[in-house]
Amino acid sequence: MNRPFRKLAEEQSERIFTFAYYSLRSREEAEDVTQEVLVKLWQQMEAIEPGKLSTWVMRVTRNAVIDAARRRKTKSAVFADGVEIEVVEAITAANGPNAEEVLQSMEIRGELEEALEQIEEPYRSIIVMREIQGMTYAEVAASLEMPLNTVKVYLHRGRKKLREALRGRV
Amino acid sequence: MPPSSENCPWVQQRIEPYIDNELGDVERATLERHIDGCESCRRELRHAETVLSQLRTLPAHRCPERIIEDIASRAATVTTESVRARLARLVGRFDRRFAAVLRPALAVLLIVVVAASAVILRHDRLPDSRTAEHPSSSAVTTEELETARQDVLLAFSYVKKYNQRTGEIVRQEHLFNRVTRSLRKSVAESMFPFPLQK
Repeated sequence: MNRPFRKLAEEQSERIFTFAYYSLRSREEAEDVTQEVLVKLWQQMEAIEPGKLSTWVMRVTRNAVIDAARRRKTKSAVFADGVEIEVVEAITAANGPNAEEVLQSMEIRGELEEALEQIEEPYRSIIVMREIQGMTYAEVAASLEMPLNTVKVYLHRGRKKLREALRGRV
Repeated sequence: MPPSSENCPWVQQRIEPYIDNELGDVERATLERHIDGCESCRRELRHAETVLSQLRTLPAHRCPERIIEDIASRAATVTTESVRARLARLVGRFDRRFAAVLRPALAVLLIVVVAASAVILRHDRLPDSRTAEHPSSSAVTTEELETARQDVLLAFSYVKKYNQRTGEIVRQEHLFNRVTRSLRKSVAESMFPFPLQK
């Protein structure tokens, strides 16, 4: 087994999967995207400049997510195939009064994810990268091949859209 | 700026940069003065801060281990194939580099084996009466040796054609020495006037 690649795959897989999951709201599709990106990473590993690995990964991931979204025949049947299971597990694990808090927290999370899914590109990608994945403006700008100021403007517009989508729900 | 509802759109456009602390001092002070006196904008700011804090608590998701396992094993397979390809390239390079020596050597060996086999076989099949007719000479007849010579000449013509086709040079003296030495073991030396001999 190729140990350096395995280590690299382990390091990058979480951010690929997280981005794909929040963009597509489907674990299955997120797994497909992760697999696709890791294969590309393997194929092109030697050609990627070491300092640009993270932005390369995110750029390829985003393109794979866009392709996956295009491949979808319907966008309706994607209510968190994973989230429903997680909600049930979390509520079962919590005892007494905590169960209600957990449920409320999971509901908010569901609302957020649903609203996020409805935000159009590139706003959603920017929000996920910056606010959920904690990437710097520079990293987001490099990943999306956009000027840094444009990223900032789009981030604020995207958050405003999200805020409007969640009015009365969160 | 006094807290006036006319200014609410101006303020609400700047809520996100305000949260990110990206407004200049003047704009920031103006916005804060407005919010102090405007319940609607204050509520909007709180909503924006709540959404953002909830957004930032969304967890990262771990990729299932089997995905990494699958990719790593596929990568290992590709590595093996790549090693095989490299070996094949090396062998090819070796083959090209040493073809000028190996191929002629094999050709010579083939000639020797064919010619010697032919002579020995004919020798073994000779009836006893013939041996009796020529007790002092070799057990091989002139006719049979001529046939063997023709075989060797044919084999040499193949080597010549090989040289012409591939452009590789079979060293003739090497060929001559190898063939002569081998054939001497089987037949009388005088019966083989080699055409390559100078």
